[in-house]
Amino acid sequence: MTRTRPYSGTDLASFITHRITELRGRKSQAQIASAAGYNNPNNISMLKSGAAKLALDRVPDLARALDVDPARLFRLALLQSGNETAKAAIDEIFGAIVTRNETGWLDAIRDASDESDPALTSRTRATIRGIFNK
Amino acid sequence: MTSRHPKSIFHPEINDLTENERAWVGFLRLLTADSDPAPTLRRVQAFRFALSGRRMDDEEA
Repeated sequence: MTRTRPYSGTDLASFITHRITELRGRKSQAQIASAAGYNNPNNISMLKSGAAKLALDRVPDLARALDVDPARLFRLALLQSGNETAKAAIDEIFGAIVTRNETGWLDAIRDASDESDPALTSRTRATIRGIFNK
Repeated sequence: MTSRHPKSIFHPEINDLTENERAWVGFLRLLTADSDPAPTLRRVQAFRFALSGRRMDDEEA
């Protein structure tokens, strides 16, 4: 039996689904597909459902269309097509990347602390938990 | 290598950070299940107020 959604449940499929939900009302799926260079919006549906995997050469355009960090999307695309051995290598190499959003957080920390390199204390942990309602 | 093209997707690396910054990033990843949350204005403001020992409610009152 042929699996119709071989990539369902992958981190990339979940990530794209979540991001498109976040963009609802600002960008349609058709607009995202067009900006990413897809002729058919159904390509995005296939990525969301896991019916198709993301080709690596689509990563930069799709990252721009979704306004997400291209390094993160690239890593997820690599993981989507890799086996467990590749996953370990990918984690070792690309796990070292700091995303654009993380860089933004670090800039905020540096700015708020006058570049004093503050340690992560129990109080600041609680603060961050509060910000994310955790 | 001391300079990297700022547009490179390989530009930011965890090894470029201080030990404290790595702890911040690690905690953020753990807390948000690696969902890479954006530092929105509201979140950053709440964070800045908390880091300075104040609450946004105090400021808005």
